[in-house]
Amino acid sequence: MSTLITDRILLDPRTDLAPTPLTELGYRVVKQTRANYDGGQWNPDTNYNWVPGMFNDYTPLLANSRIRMTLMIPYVGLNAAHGISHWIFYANGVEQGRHGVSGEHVEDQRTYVWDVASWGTSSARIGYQMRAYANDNHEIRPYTTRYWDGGGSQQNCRGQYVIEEYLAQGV
Amino acid sequence: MANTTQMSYIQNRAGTVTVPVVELKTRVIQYIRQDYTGGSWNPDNNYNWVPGAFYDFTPRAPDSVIKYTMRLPTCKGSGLAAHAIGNWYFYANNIIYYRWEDSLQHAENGNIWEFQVPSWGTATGRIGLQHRAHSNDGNEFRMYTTEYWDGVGSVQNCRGQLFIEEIAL
Repeated sequence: MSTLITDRILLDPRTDLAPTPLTELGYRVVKQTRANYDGGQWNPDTNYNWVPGMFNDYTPLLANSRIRMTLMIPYVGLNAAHGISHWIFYANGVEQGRHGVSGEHVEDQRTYVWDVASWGTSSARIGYQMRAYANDNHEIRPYTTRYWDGGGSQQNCRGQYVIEEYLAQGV
Repeated sequence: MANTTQMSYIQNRAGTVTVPVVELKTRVIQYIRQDYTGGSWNPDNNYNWVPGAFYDFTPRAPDSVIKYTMRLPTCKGSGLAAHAIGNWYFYANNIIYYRWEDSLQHAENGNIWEFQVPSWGTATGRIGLQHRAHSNDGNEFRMYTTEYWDGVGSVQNCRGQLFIEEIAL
């Protein structure tokens, strides 16, 4: 195991116009996890539950990093014109924040981004819990549609999340 | 002639930055940014490529990940039905990876959609969004425009922006 100590590095002597300051290599992704959800629609009730496909039991590589989770989730309001739901984002058992999703005849796919400090190097769950305002009424249901292709059709939709653990060293 | 120096870490002299060389493997190796300034786009009830929201992209590596990020303003078209509805497909190299529906009463928004897909090799393929309205000029979303700007019923052009980052892991 060897360490090169230098303030600048010429990464490609043929094409680099100027050496790269080592401090500019300090901001970097140290671990990445990506998953698709393909399990079809999920029907929430009035209890907070983990949204399938929107959580991960994650083990940080480092204790001094930050963990950025980007979640892409489609949903639809069902069983009443006004869909209402409540969302809480957790990391390692700690609530990081909450928000509502509501609208008249609402359907959408949203990209949510959360950035939290590493909780150490032990495994813990990170992701969304949600509940409906009223069970099977005034409800937001993930991973499905209501009016597909000009008709009244429920189609399965996929979701995706990406976790990037990064270090912001020297910047 | 290529030079190779083998080491496990690189550190600056002050000791404030120490980088395991293996962590330099995850990096952006190609970056595309495309601004759309063409004004409102009016879809019909066929699936069409959304202007400004697609790109004919050539990956540099066959084992990378392609990250697609699109900021695309939408709204219920002025004078159309109060309930806007539209359907979306996200394609990469002719494969449908994701689809979803947009719907809302008096909808206006400035959404970001972001997806990551595996590289399809080093040939050019189209990556981006196709869209159709629920009913042409009826229950419809329009792109890159507004309906009620600055407190009145004002249609304004909006810009869109596309980023594509190819990431080596």
